[in-house]
Amino acid sequence: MAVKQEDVVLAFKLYNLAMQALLRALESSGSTLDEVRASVDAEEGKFFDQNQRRIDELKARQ
Amino acid sequence: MNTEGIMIPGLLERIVGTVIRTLLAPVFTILTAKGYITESDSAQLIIEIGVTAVAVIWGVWSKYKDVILIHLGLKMQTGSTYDQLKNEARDGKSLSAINKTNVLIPLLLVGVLGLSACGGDAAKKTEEAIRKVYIGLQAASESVEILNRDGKLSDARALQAYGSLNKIGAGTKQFKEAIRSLGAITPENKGGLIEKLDLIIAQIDLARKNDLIGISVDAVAKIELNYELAKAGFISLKGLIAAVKKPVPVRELPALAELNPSRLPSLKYYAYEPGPDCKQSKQSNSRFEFQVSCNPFSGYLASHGARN
Repeated sequence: MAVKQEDVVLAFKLYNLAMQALLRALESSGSTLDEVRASVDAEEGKFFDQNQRRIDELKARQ
Repeated sequence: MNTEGIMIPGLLERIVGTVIRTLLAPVFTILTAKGYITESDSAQLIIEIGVTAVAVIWGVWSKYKDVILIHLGLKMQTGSTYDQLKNEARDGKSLSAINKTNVLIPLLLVGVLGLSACGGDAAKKTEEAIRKVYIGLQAASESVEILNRDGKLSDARALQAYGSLNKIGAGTKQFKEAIRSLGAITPENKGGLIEKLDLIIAQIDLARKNDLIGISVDAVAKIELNYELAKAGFISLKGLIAAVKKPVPVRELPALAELNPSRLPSLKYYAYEPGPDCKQSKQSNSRFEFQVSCNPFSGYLASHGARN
């Protein structure tokens, strides 16, 4: 029973994450081309920084 | 209410939020009664999911209204004003002339697959497609972290997944820089761009196949949406570029090509329903295919194994 409880909560966490991503994807990122490009560069930087941080944390644990 | 920058009228939020929470409450009552979740988890999850669902519905509805305006605008004479367009939109006869199903289905696909249906400069659309890819990759990376933290994914597998995501991100960055450096996309240079996009799409598919092995199929289904979001951004870009027949300045790529449903990929969703009375079934419409399977691994194998 405890295992199923964790699985259900995990499923909802992942679903919520997917929906949050969908929300951010739906919204506009700016009104001019330069604003949109700046937003793209910001999202790119955020992705690489977060991904690398996670890799570094994992390697530090090993 | 402001969810990630989307302003939702307060009254609408209260109405829709109440409806969503009312619909969800019986589901959570059953899950709590069976002991799958505790009451405190239930209360928190209802709030979180209700808030998210309200914002998603509002976001899709806003985009639907934008797409209606785009379709009407395309039918009006050059030089028409925005006020004339809005008057046309208020006119029921004009709206009925647009097949709303044809608008709604690609819009829902656009929303789900991450393609933007806002009007505006075509170069902006290209950049927004790339932005959606990065949002999908961020969510995929966070999904891996959640699964690793919850013990569903080993450290080694998580590292492999992060590595795959880094490769996809690097390919995306190369494509972004290539497209920004081009003054125009021509029939001569578009082949090279399409090759770059094909490589990235193949990397996404390979990452989906290799990095999700060993994870429960329920978790896989939740992560799939993030991969689809990223992949769909590239497929939409590919469609835009493939449509180029004569030299086109990057700023003037065909703006509405992605609204053509035939350019959009179809989605397949797999659901696992356990139980002695499980019956396999299949439902589909023109764009979505839903497969209910009694085998917990059939959905995953069918969506990945056949391809490679």
